[in-house]
Amino acid sequence: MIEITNLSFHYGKQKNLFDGLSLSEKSGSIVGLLGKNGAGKSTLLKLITGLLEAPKDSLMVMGNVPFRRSPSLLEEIFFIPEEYDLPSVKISEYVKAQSLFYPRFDLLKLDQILVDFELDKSRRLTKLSYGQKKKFLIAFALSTNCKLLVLDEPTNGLDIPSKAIFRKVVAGSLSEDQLVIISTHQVKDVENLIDKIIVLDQGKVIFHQSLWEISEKYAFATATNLDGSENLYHEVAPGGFKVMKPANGAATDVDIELLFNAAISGVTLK
Amino acid sequence: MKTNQIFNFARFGKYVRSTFSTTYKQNLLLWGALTAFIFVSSLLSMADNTSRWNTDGWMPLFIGTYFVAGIVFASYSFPQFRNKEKTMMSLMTPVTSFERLLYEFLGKVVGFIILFPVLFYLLSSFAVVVRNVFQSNQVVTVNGINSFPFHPISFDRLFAGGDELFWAFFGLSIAVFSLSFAGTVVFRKYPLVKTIVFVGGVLAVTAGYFVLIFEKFHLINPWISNVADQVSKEQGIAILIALAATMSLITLAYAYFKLKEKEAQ
Repeated sequence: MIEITNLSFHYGKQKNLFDGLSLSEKSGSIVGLLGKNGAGKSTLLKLITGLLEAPKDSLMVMGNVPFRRSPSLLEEIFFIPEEYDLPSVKISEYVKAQSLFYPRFDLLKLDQILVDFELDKSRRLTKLSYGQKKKFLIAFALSTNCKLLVLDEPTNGLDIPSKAIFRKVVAGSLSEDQLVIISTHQVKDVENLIDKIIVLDQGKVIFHQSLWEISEKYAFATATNLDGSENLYHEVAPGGFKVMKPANGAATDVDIELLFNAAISGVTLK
Repeated sequence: MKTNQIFNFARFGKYVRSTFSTTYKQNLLLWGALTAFIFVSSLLSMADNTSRWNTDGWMPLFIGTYFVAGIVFASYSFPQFRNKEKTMMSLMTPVTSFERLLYEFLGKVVGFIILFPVLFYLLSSFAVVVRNVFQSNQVVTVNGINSFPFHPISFDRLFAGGDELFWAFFGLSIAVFSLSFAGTVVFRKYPLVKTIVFVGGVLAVTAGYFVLIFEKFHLINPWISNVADQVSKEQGIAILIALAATMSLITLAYAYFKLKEKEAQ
């Protein structure tokens, strides 16, 4: 679905944000795009959605150059940016106006997700709080049934119960022909949701694996002391250490935060 | 490239419905402001002028307000591009750049050109009624018939010169409004001010350049020197129409390509 080959990109006269970045992603996954502040997560999402122009032949989405913004491609992409500005209309009016553009829009699904998020369709969008607006946009995005959903920091502004509902509705709303990319620096919010992790650092993809592969290769544990030399990475935690080490057949839950910190601190992860 | 990827009537219809339903309040405000502007201008022009207005007296006011309001009106095109967030949401809407451009052009330029004269006629006529009501002591009696000093506008005078004058007026207004319209695609903040400064700068530099060259090298082209004698009124109008059409085409084509290349930075 997404093919990125040797992508280099910079804003204006600034130095390259991406330098030879390559990435390939098929449908049927929920991908977590992780990176430090300024690593270029939002920029990469904008390039993928055609809001920024990528150098020729370096980026294809569903066989199209996204920057051409052909309507047939845009019907299959929904992007929720981190910051947004919604018109001063009721939710129902917005849905009526915007759902026209998405051929597989599912109004029943929208109604159900709005109920889950406790949002009333008669409310005016500009009267909603930041978090409520975000919940509405998430509901709308999922209801479009677009093949590619791109969510930039979707859990920012969501309260704790809403984060759990977010994970539930995203996991329960997708089909095998869809790809969801979630950019976030709040990795705890997307635990138990994403099934692939991409880590961006210094203009390159430094880690790109499925959670299944990660759990096969690595084990994550807490320990009171650092006893083994086989530890790949550790962090001080209350009461001891959080440790990442080769799995050696032991299956553990993946600690995404620890994995992310290991990746960006230069630990070689194969 | 498939035609469907440039213009599709059904998709354009969806875009019109969708955009209209989410922006009708802003449009109502804009038209409301225009209505107030025309009415107040009409009243003020009569208040300031104690001489008796005939139907021709309205023409300078009509032409002045038409161009001023038209330029301002066109500068409110593409309101979604005034901030980054709205730009992103708008660019992700599944329509083509041509459809976006057409919608805005029809709404902010063509719509204005069609509706302004009608609105002006109605509002200035209403302003005449209001003025006459409040100044009923100024009734003039001519041949035994009582007459109020102010009369509503008639457009006969404007187009009395024939179709050419109408097309010249129409072409010139399209060209001028297109410049203001294109500025809204190019500039994010203060598009009208920036467009005026830019166009003014280009005109000043161009005029200055030619004046300098002609003056410096004493270039005297008899055709140019005697242009007023050699070109008839009809030819002059035809040249004006051709220039206006060319300028509009170039400006709109530029706006279209800028829109296609629009990024959400």
